[in-house]
Amino acid sequence: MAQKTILLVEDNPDDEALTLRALRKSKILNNIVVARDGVEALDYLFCTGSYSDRDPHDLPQVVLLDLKLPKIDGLEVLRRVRAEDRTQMLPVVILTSSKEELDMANAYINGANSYVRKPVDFNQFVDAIGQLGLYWLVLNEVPPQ
Amino acid sequence: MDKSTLSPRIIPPEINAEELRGLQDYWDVYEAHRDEIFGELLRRIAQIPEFRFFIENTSLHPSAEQQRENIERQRRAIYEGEWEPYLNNLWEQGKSYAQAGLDFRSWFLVVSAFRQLVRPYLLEAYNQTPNRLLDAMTGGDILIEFAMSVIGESYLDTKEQLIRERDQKIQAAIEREHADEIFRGLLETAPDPVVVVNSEGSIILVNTQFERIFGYLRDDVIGQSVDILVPTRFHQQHPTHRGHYYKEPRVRPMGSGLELYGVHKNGSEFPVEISLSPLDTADGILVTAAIRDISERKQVEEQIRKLNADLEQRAVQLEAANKELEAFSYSVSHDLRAPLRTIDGFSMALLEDYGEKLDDDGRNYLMRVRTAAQRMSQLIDDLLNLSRVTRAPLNAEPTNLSSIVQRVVHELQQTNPDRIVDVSIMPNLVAESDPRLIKVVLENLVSNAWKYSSKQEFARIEFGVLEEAVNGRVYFIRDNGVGFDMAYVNKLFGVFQRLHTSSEFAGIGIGLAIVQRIISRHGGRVWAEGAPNEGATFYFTL
Repeated sequence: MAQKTILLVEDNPDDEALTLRALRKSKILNNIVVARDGVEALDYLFCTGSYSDRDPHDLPQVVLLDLKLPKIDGLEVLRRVRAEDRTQMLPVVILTSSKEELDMANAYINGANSYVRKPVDFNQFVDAIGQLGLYWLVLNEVPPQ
Repeated sequence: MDKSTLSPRIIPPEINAEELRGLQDYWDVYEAHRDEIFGELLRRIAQIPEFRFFIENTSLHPSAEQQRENIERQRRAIYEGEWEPYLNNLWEQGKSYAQAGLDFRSWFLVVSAFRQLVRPYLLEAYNQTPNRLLDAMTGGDILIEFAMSVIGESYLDTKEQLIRERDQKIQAAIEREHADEIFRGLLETAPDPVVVVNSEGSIILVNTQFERIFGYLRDDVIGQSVDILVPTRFHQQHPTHRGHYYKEPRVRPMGSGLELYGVHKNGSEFPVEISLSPLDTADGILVTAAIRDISERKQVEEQIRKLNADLEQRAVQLEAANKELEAFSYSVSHDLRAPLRTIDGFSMALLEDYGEKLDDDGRNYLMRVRTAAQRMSQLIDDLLNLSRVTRAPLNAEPTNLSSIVQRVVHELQQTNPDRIVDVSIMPNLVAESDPRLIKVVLENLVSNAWKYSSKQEFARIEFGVLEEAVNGRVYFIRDNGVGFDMAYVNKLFGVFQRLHTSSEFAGIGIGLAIVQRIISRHGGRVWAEGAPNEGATFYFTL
C-alpha cells in the first residue's frame, strides 16, 4: 500500500511548525504536503499549476484545511473540492482557530467531514492532532476511488 | 267671491214657507223705509265711540253703490233663494271689520239699535193684522240673527287667523333673535379664530379667538378688507380666489394642498388651515372662515420628522456597529488566538527539546509564559461568548426554569461527586424566555452558588420566586457561601471584575456580566444581596 499522504493547508508558519511537531509527537510519520494558500491547495488536488505533472489519481488520505487563507479561503476550497467528481468524497477536516457558530455551520453545510478547533494549550493540541491522525489515517476507511 | 272662502260653519238658512212669508213682509217694510232707518242708525252709531272709527273710515263705510248692491243681494236672497252672494258679502264684511280692529261688542250695539229702529215701521205696517206683524218681526229677527252669526263667525275666524299670524311673526322674531344668539354663541365658543366676510371681501364679524391670535381688536378690523390678514404676496390672487368661491359657495377647506399663512397685527406670519362655509343671510351670502393656527402642529411634525430621521440614522449606525462587532469577533476568534498558540506551542517545544539546558527558574518562567497564554485564550473565549450573547436573536417561549436548575445541579454534582449540597428547587417555575440564553444565566448563577459555598460545612442552595408589588415575579438563587461585601456590589456585574482572587476561587469574572446582558435583553433586571460569610442571593426578573 502506498504511503498515505496528508495535505495540510495552513498559511501561518508557526502553526505549520506546531502541527508538524504535533504529528511527529503523535508518531504519525506519513508524507505531509503543505499548501500555504487556497490556490496552492487546489493546484495540488486538481494537479494544476505547479502541480500539473502530478498523478490525478493520487489523492491524499485526509486534508487538514484552515479556514482563513490567502487568495482563496478554506470554505471556497471545500466547495470546489466537493463540486469535483474525483474529489467529492475526499475526507476534509477543518482545522481552525475559530469557534464561531457561523464558521462551523458553513463548514458542515459545504461538506466538511469534521471540524476541529486548534487549542492554545500545546498539550491539548498534540492530543487533538494525535486523535485526528489515529481516526483518519488508521480507523477510517477511505472511499472507493 | 268664491264659495270656498265660506266658513264650513256657515250653512244657508233653512226657512219654511211661513217664515219666508214673514221674512218677505219684513223686507218690504224695511226696504220702504230703508233711508230713514239707515239715516237714524248712522246718527246713533256715531254716538258709540268704538264705532265712530267705522263711520269715519271710508274704506270700511260702504259707498252708495255698495249699499245698493247689498240691498239687491238681500232682496234676491229673500225673494229668489239666492243666499250665497249675500252670505259671501256678509263674510267679507265681518273680515274687513275684524281686520280694521273693530270690537265685536260694538256690532252688537249697532244691530240692537237697528232692530229697534225697524220695529216702529213694522208695527205701523201690520197694525191691523197682528199675525202678520208677528210673522214679519220673526222674519226680521231670523234675518238679523243669521247675518249676525255669519259676520260673527267671519269676525272670529279672521281674528283667530290674525292672532295666529301675529304669533307666528312674534315666534319668527323670537327665533330669529335666538338664532342670532346661538350664532354668536357658536362664534365665541369656537376654538379657533372665525372671520365672517361679505361678498366685497370686507370683514363684518370676528370672535374673541380672532383677537387673541391675530392681535387685532374687533373694532380695528370690522369693515376692513380681509386682505389685511393675508400675506402681501398673495394679495394679487386673493380677490380672484374669493370671486371663484362666491360663484360656487360650499363648505370646504381653503386652498387644499397649499401652505396657507395668516398675518398677525405685528406683521409676523404663521401657518394656518382655513375652512370656509357660506352663510345665506338677508344681506346676501357671507363667508365664514374658521382659521386654525397650526404653528404648533407644524413644529411637532417637524420634530417628529427629525426624530424619525435621527432614529433611521441611528438604526443605520447600529447596524453598522453590529456588523463591525461581528467582523471584530470573527477576527478575534481567528487572529488573536494564533499568536497565543505560537507562544504556548514553542514554549512547550523549548521545554521539551531544551528543558535539560535550563535550570528550575528557567523552566518555571516558561511555565508562567504558557499559563499566561492559556489564560489569555480563556479571556478571549469569554469575551466572544459575551458578545455572542449580545448578538444572538432572542426567541422567547414558556420555559421551565426549575427543570433547568435541576439539570445544572445534576451536572455539577456529577463533576464534583464528593460535594454534599442541600439543594432546594421550587418546582415548575415557568417563565417566558429564550431557553438557550436563560440556561446560560441559570448555569452561571447556580455554578457560582455551588462554587462559593464550597468551603461551607453544610452548603445550601435555594432556587425560588417571590411575588413583589413593585417588581412582580422575582426569581432568586440563594447560597450560604462566602457572600460578599455590599460595598462592592457595583463591581459584581462588570466584565472581568472579581471580588475574590483566582487562588481563592477559580474564575475570571465574566459570568455575571453575561447574566446581566441576557437578563436585560429579556427586559428584566438582575441584582444581588449579600454579606461576607453570610451567603449571597441573586435576584432577577424577566
